[in-house]
Amino acid sequence: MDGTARRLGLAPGLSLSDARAVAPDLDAVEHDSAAFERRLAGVADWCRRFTPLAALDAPDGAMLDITGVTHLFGGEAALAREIEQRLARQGVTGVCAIASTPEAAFAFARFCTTRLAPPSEEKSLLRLVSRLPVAALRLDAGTVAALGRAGLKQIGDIHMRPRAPIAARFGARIFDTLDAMLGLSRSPISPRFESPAYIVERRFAEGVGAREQIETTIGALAQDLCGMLERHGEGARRLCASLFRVDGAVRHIHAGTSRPTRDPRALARLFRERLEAAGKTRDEDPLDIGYGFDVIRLAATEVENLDPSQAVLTQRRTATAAQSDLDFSNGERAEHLADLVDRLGARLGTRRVLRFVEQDTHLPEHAVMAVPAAEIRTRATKGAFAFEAGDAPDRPIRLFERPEPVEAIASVPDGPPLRFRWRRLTHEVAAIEGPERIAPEWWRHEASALTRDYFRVEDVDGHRFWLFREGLYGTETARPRWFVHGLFA
Amino acid sequence: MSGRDSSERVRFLRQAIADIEQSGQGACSARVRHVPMGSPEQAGFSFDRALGGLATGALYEVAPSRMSDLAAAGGFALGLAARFAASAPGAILWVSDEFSAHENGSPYAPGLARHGLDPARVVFVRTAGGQDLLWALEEAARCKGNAAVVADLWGAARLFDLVAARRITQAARASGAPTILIHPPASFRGAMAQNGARMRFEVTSRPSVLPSQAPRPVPGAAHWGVRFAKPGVEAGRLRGLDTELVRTIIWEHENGFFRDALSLALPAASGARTAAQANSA
Repeated sequence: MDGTARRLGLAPGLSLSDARAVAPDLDAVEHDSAAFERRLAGVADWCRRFTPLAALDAPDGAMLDITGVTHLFGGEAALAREIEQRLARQGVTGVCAIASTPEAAFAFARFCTTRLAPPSEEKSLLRLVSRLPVAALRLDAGTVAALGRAGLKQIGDIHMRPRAPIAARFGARIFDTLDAMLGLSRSPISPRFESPAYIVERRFAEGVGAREQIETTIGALAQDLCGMLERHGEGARRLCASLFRVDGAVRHIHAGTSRPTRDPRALARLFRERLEAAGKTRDEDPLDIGYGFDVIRLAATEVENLDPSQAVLTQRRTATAAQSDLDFSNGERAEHLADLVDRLGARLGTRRVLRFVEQDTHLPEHAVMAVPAAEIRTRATKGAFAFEAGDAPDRPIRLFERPEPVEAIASVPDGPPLRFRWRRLTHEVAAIEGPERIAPEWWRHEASALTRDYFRVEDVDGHRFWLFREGLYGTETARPRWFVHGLFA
Repeated sequence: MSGRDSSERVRFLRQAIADIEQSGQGACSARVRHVPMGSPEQAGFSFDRALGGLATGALYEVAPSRMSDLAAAGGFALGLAARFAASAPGAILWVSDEFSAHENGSPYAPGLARHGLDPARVVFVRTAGGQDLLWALEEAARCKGNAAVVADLWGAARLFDLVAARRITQAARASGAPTILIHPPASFRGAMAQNGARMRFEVTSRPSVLPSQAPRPVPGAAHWGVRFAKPGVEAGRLRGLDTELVRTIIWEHENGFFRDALSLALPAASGARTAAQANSA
C-alpha cells in the first residue's frame, strides 16, 4: 500500500469491484505468493548488511536484531531512515519500526504511526500499546472478530480486564504475546542464518565493480579474519563471502577447507578460484556484478581449534613415523596436498575431488565408495582393500559404472565364454579363470537381482577383461546375459 | 639451405633452449632423483639400462598403440606411478574427466590395490570437462605433496597443445612431482612430437599365456609390449635409443617392479599353475 494508493482512497482488504469504483483505471494483478516470498527472503537477506541476525517474519516482514549495531549507523532513528530509504530505492515499500521486543516492533510497524517505540521500562509504552487494535497481537482473523463482538477492540480493553475469563475463551496466547510486547517475558527471534563466529567487512561509498577489486578486498578481509582467528587459536573450516549489490541483491559464495586454516593467502586463493569458477560451470549462477557491490563481508561460519604449536610438533613426529601414509594433518607434504585438495575443490566442487573408502559388501560396484577428499579427516586405515595374493590380480583396475552388455558365445549355457563381441570388436578367448560366483545381497536389494558369475578373460591379443554372466541358467533365467564390467591392465 | 639442414638446425636450437631452461631451473627446482623401474636386487632390467631410471619432476607420456590397448596403457602408467610412489611419500593424484571415466571406466580401488598401488594414497579428481582437467593437472603438477600425478588425457587431448605441455612440464620441474599422461591412441603425431615430455611410451597388450598351453590356461600377470616413441630430444644417452624396438615386459604387481619377459630364468607363473591344476584334476 503505497502513497499513491492511499491518496486514491484505496485500502487493504477492499474488494476488487469496490476498488474499481474508486479508481476506474486500476490494473488488477493476481498475487504471486511464491514470487513474493522469494522477494521477501531476498529483502531479509539484504537486511543482513545491517546486522548478522536477520530473520524472516512471515508473512510480510523481516525482523532484525540490532542490539549493539545502531551506533554504526548514527543511532536508531538514522538506521530506520536508512533502511526505509534504501528499500524505497530498490522499489520496495517498507515501514521500519524499532522497539525493545520483536512483538512490539511487529505491532508498531503495522498499526502505529510512532516508529520508535519507547523502551519497555517506560510507562509511555503501555499507553501507546493500549491504543493499538487487538490484531497487533498477531491473532488470526477469527479471534480478532470474536474479540470485536465481545467489545474488545483495542489492546487496552484486554489489558485492563481480568485475564482468566479472556484466556479461557480466546486462548492464553493473547497474553503471552502481550507480555512479550510489554517486555515482561522474552521471546527469541530465529535468524535466517546462524550468526557466524567471526565476521569482517568492508563498506564502499560506491559500488565496486571490477573483479580484481573484489578479489583484493577479500584478500584484505582474509588478513583481518586470520588475525581474529589467530587471537582465539582457531582455524576456519567453512567460509562465506557475502557480496551485497547496490540494488539490494545479495550473493553468497561458500568455500570449505579440508583442515582448519588461518593462512590469509590460502583463503584469498580459495575465493579467487570460486570467483573464477562462478558462471563457468553449469551448477553455478554467474557472478552478476551489475552496478557493483557496496558491502563485502567475509565470515568464518565453521571454525576448529588450531594450536600454533601443533605445526612444530607434527613436523618432528612425521620425521620418525612411517612416511608412506597419506594423512592430511601432518607434515609439510601433507600441507601442500591439503592445500591442493582445497583449491581443486573450490574450483571444481568438493564432490569432484575424491578418495576411496572400502565398504563392507562383496558386490563389486559397491565395494568401494568415493568420498570427497575434504571430508576425510582421519588417517586412512591401513590394510584396507585386503586381498589374497595370486598369480594375477582378480579385480580390474578400471570398472565401468554401468556394466556394458556383450554378445558372448559359450559352449554350454552355463559354461565359460569362447568368444565375445564388445564395442564392435570380436575377441577370441585365449585364457580364462572363473567362475567367481557373487550372489546378490538379498537383505539389501530387491529380490529381482540375479546371481553373477564373474570370469577373468584374456583374448588372443592379450587384452584382459572382467566379464560376468547374469542369472543362473535354468533356475533364475532361461537366457543369461553377458556383460563386461571392468578392464585389467 | 636444404630442408634437411634446416630441420637439423631447428632441432639443434630446441636442444639448446632445453639445456638453457634446464640450467636456469636447476637452482630452484627440487632435487631430481632417478627411480629404477626394475628391482634393485636383480639389476639389468632393459629399461633401466636404456634410460638410467625414471627422473622425478618430469613429464611422461603413455599411449596405447590401438584403441583396445587403452587399459594396458593405463596399467603401465599406474606401474610408473607405483614406482614413484614407492620411492617417495605423498599422494598419487589421478585426474580424469567425466567423459573418460564413463567411456573407459573409472579407477577401481580393489583393483588398484591388487595392481600394487595403495588406494589410500590415491586422490581421484573427476572434472566436468577438458578445460578443467588441464587446469587441475597443472595445479597438481605444481603441488609438492604428490608422489606422482596421473591424468587420463582422453577428452582433453585436443586441448593439450604445446603451450599446455610446456606449462605442465615447467610445473612438474619446479615441484619435482613426476607427471604421467595417458593419451588416446595415435596422438604423438605432428607438432606434439616435439613437446617437453621426457619420455614417451607406446604400449600394446601382450598375451600372458602361450597359445600352445592346453587345455584351458589361466590369465597371468600383465604383459605389455612397450616402444620408446621419443626420438632424440633428451640429451646424452637417451639420444641413441632405438625407437622402433618393441620390448615385452611384465609388471610384477606383488612387488611393484617391471621386468623383462624373456631374460628371466624362472618358468612362466601361469604355465606352472595350469600344469599343477591339470595334475590335481
